[in-house]
Amino acid sequence: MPRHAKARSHLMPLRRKAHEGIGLCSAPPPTPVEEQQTTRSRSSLAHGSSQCRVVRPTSAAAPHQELDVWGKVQYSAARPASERYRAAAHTGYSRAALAGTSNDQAAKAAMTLMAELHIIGQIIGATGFPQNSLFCKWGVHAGGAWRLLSGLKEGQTQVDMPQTGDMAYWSHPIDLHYTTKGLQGWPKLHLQVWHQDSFGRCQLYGYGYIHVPSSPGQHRLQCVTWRPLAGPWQDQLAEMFVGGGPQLRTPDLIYSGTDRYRLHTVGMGTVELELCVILRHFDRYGVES
Amino acid sequence: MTSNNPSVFLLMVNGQIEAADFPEYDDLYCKYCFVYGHDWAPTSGLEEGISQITSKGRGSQSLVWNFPLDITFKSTNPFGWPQIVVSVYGPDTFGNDVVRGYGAVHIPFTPGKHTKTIPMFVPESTSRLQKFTSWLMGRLPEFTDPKVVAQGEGREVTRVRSQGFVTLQFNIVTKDMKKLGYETTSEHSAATGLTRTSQQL
Repeated sequence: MPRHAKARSHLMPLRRKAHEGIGLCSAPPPTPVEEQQTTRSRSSLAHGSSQCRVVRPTSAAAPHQELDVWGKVQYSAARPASERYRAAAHTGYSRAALAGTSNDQAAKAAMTLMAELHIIGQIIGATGFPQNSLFCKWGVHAGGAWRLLSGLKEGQTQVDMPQTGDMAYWSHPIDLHYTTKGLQGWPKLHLQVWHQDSFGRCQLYGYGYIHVPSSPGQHRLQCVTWRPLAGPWQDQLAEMFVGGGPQLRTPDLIYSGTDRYRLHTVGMGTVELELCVILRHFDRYGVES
Repeated sequence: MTSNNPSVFLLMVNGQIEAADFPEYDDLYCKYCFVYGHDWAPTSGLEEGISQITSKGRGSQSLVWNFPLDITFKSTNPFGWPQIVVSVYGPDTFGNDVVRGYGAVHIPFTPGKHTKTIPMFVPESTSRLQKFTSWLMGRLPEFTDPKVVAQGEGREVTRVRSQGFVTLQFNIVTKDMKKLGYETTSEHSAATGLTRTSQQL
């Protein structure tokens, strides 16, 4: 199942866009590779060992031969360096590479010394909304230079009806592993808070977004939310009785500011998050954070 | 044995499940387990445990366990950072053992002392009749595998009710994370000597 051939057509425009930003490392253009080698590397990924196999780059690897993170790497200490790089610089990236065993991804990134970002934490809960029975749809959006190596970048939390107090608790875990070639497009976490009533109807209670912190360490974040207001007073009255106010058509507007001037919104509650940011190899590129 | 080019880093966790705060329930015990990714492996310590049964003392509303945690993990990758899943059980009016709360939190990431207070929630019955029947039979809804609480997938179909808190204390030591290039603390805060000793959820 050589999917990499089809993936190649999607890759080229993306690769050009990635190099437009402030580049952290320049990858050489991919060299064509035999199909056999990639399928062999794919099958070895499928066998996937449970032991951690991180091979540090040897001094024989020349620094200018940094690899594209989308290239699949299957390597061992026994294979000569030239063959290793040829197999790695293959053409496309496939879904298997993203969903594959994370130690191979880590090994890949370790070998190329690309800058990595780990976002690990929880969406704790929400407070300050008119009703308590809430859930949250969340997603993480990053720029073109960022590649998600492992983790789910969107999801939906449980619905919590708190018995005591005002805060709805979700404790939803977030665990993301990004690698990047540039600083533009630092990941943003966007949220939609919804209310589910006892009949099972869902109503939008707020949109919000927050940038993932850029300094390493543990951060306690509060994300404010807003809700679009219905236009005429008749709609607002209907919304009070029946529910179902206006919603955004696409979630892009939550985290972008380009078309916001048309909106009229009202502020709603806050969402609490606890995120830990772990950076790797950013100092090698001179990035201070 | 120190190596100049380490390939794994270690995370050592010492701590305790200190106490719980459940206003409506008494005589509770807790179970804990650790959930971690594929790249992680525990090298020593206990992955699971059951505590004693504790009651609220006269005049005090807190349920104290003081239950020790001691585990060390090794890994090559922070993805899949271990989480501790705590499940609290207690008797209902008829004496059956029912679940009173599930909660999960990531093990703290930076070396030092941390205190975490996590909310505990139980799954809700889908209808009022089911709620009454389960109360009568002593079989309240519970998760078949408590590890679901530590995952993000599949949670969107669950409805829960949060009804208490558990306080945990951790002392964290990491080894070789800096050598592998991972920065978990900002240089700015390290230079000014700020330490995080208390985290409240």
